[in-house]
Amino acid sequence: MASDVESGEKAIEEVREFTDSVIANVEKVIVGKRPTIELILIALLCEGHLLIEDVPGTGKTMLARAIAISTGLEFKRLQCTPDLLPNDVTGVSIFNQKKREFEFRPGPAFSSILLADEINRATPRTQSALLEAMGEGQVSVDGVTYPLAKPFIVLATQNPIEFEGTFPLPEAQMDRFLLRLSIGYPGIADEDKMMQMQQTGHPIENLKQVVDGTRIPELQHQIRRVHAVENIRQYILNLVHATRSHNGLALGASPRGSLALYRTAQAYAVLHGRDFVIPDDVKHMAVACLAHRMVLNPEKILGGETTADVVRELLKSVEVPMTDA
Amino acid sequence: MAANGLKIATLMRVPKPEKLVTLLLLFVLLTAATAGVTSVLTGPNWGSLWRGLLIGLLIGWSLAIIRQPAWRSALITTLLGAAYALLYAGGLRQKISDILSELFFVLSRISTSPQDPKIDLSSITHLLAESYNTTGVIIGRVYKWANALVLAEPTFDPVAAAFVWISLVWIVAAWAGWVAIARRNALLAVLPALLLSVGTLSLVHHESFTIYLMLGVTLLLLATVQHDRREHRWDEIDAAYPPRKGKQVGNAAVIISVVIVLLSAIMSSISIPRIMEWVSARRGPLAQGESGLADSLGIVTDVTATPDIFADLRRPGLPRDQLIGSGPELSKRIVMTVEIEDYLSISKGEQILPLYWRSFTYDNYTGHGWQTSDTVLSEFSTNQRLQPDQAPQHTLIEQNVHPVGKETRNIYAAGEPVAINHSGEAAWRSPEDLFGILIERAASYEASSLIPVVDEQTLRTEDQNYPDWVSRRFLSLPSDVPERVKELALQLTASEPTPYDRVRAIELYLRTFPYTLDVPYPPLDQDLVDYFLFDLRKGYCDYYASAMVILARAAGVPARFAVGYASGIYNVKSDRFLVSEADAHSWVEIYFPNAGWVPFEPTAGRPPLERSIVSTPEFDSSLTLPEAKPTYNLTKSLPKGWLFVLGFMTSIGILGAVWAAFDEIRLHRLTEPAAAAEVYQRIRGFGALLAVTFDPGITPYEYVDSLNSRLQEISLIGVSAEFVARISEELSTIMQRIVETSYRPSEYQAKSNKVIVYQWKVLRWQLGLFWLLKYYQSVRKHLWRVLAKVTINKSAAVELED
Repeated sequence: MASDVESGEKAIEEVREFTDSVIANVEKVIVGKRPTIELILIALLCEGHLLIEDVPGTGKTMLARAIAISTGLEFKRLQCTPDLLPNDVTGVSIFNQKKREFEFRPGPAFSSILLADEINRATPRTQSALLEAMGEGQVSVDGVTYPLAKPFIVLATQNPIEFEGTFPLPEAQMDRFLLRLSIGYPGIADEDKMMQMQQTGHPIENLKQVVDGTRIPELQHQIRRVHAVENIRQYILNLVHATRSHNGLALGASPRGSLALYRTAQAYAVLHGRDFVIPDDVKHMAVACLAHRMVLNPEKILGGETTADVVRELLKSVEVPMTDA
Repeated sequence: MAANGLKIATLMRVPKPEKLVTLLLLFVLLTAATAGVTSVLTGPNWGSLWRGLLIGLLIGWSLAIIRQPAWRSALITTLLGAAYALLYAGGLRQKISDILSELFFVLSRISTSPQDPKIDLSSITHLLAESYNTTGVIIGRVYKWANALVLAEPTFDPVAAAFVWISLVWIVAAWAGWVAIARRNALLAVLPALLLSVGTLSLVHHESFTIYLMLGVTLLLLATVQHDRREHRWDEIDAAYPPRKGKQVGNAAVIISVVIVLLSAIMSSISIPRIMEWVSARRGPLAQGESGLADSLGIVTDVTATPDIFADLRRPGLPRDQLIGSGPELSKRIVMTVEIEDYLSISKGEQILPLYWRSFTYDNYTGHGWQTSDTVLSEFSTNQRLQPDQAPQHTLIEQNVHPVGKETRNIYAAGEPVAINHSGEAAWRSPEDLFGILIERAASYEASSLIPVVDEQTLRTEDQNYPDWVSRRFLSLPSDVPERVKELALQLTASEPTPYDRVRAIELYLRTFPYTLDVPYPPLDQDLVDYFLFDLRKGYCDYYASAMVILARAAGVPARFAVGYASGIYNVKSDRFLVSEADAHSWVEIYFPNAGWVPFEPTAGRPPLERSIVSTPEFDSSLTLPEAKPTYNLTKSLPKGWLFVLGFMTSIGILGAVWAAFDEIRLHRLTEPAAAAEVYQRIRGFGALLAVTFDPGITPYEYVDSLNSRLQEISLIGVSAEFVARISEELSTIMQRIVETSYRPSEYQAKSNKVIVYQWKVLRWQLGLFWLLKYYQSVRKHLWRVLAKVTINKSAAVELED
């Protein structure tokens, strides 16, 4: 038991060191966005994928690149356009004249960090190819199944304003993303700092690797060992069930949502040095985890509310349990 | 559990000023109502009524403030009221304070000599048993009194009346306090008080200035309660109530009230006596039952004392001059002999009839002596029958009286004179009530009279069904008899079940005072009986008899002051009584419905009047004598009132310690997670005191953050910042422990074992201290603000002068 506790604590320490180093490194490039970086790392550690809803120019690409460099993972950027084909994502078999056989040329999906820019501009067929790859961790091309890299995270972006010429992700597909976040514009002071930083050159050119990205699967395993007592699980379930019965929502969060909240709360606990989940962790992750899985009632949309508002409201009213209470 | 904590929190938050003003006005009004009522009462003393009023009002008001439901408030009020009435009407206060001082003594004994504590609890159990008995007796008396009332034979029992009045006042006060706050209805609140006052006063056509006061206060009360109600309604719809409004309303209310009261006082058409007349006209003439009701409640309906003929005899003072010879000197000179026909056979050998030779009886006490009411003279001829010559429980005797030396005109006879063998004049206060008889000068006379022959048992069976002429004359006390005399009467007799026992208790009490003829002249400004009972505590027969009559009347038993000669010595050889100058005497006669006027002997030194073979009642050793030696040095130095306070505080302290100990044990026995939940709730209770909001969705860490920020805010008003910082730190630590205990699987928790409970024990005293400091600071700030306003006005005035 004691050794268990000790090894548990050691493991937590390892994860914390990992994330702290990455965050410190990335902050050399991206200023004042620590929570966002944390969220991305959480998604990475939970083996999930991220949906970034943001206006252009907030540094999404820079962020993804910085993380990739810090961890030494392979980074690919995929610009989605309406004429993008599924094979452009997964890869294609090409006939090699010299060898007289088919060769598989892997697509961008075979990287570790894939930034799929403006995913809502790709056609549904291409979207589903990518989402399938995300979900299964492997692709089949011409009858052959090729496993994807480990770790593999997709950072899909979309512009919340533009609706012309887009194929908005349907509800079922939104559900596959672990978290949704938006980076947003930097504060005035931070923007000023950014301009000063980029006076001579871009800091990302001097960025170095600081951690070993191949350890990530191990760390992902550690996350799963974080303890959550029955009350916490009950609290998560109460929250999710409240979304299902809320009269402002046409559709509440699915069981995938409960699982996602559970997992991300564990990761959040570890990032803050605990090997057990507390309700505060759940509350912190709730909006990012659940808001994109729900659909508002039409009257609510007219009122200007968002699903995030509904989640915040529920966080105030759902009772936080104490043990045995 | 949390609900209770929050309820107590509501009580401890300082109530709004309007509610305090309401409380004050209610108190003034109730005091006025009670004062008006007690001005016509003879029974209950003002002190206990007033105290009962205050406590009842506070209890009703507090119950409404902490929002108890109506039925629970009624239950609590009734129980407390009954307990209070028993305590004060029944004189249990003394016993309770005795019990407390015994307890204190035992505790101090234990603490000073823990090795050899001779704990003697027998005295405590004895006192408790007595208190229990007394309570039973009092309840029995109230029941009997109520029974008599229902059977249309009302009697006046001061203890029962006191009980009823105290209970009434209590209920009225508690009702007023509760309704004014809980139902926000001023009129409904004061209605019972007004009804009580007006109803009582209308029974006696007594005009009282207190009515005007009540009118004014009721108007003010209407204004405050209306204001409170309006504010409450505005709060409900979340509108901000303008703060100045209260003051404006207050000013307007005061002006209007004063105007209306003045108008009503000046204008004759709506004068108060008219209202009284109207009310009593509506009620019809005072029916027999009603006057009986009034009597039984101790309401004096006819406060008249009619002056009279027999002028020289009715000179106020201790009647000495009517006696043969003068002065209280002990002279053995025989002044008369009395021979009774067939004395030996009448006296049945063993049973000695109490034979005091009475000349005159007095009914009116002046504070310095005795007077008789108006009398009507009627002449009688030789052997004309003056009064009935037979009655149950009486026997007729023939006495042959030979005055020695001087001739006399006075008739001395035992019992009620029936016929004299001379002609003369008899003075009657009423057809049944003889003042005395004077005959033409004679050397001797024969008088037949009716004397009561009763024993103790028979006397004990007597009830209180007195005829009108008795209760009107012989129960009245002048209004300036001091309260403590009446209280002493109640104290002595509260636990005695029958009228005879009550009289006997008074008699026995007085007989403990030493007899002496050497007494200073009583002060002119002090009541004689009061002087005797509390300051002098010794004297001769006039003092004893006067005191006993007053005490008996105060206890609700009709009594009269009798003057004449004591029996003297029975000379067997000559078969006659030899009465000397020294036997000049005054004593008490008590009226019983069947036995008539029965003499009693309160004077120490004179042999007690024995009535029967049945043994006399035991002297009640628990009667407190003014000279009772204090049993412990402590009580000698502390006045009784302080002892009570000390006892009260000690018991509170003990209760507090016991509760704290139990609480600790309980906390220790909880499992760690349950203890964590419990402590968290208590911290939330404390937060509620400081008005920190709590949503269901707040996590412990979030809560402790908002709590700490609130503490920071408060430290700005003057509580030491260091202290606050320490508390915040402790709170954060304990909260961390709570979170860990609650959300970490038990296998992985460090074996901390009860750390939370230990931390909480320390923390809760700090929190309590903090709250006290904060309260003190806010009160101080408030005072400063008020003072600042005053000084600003003053300085403004000074400036104007310059």
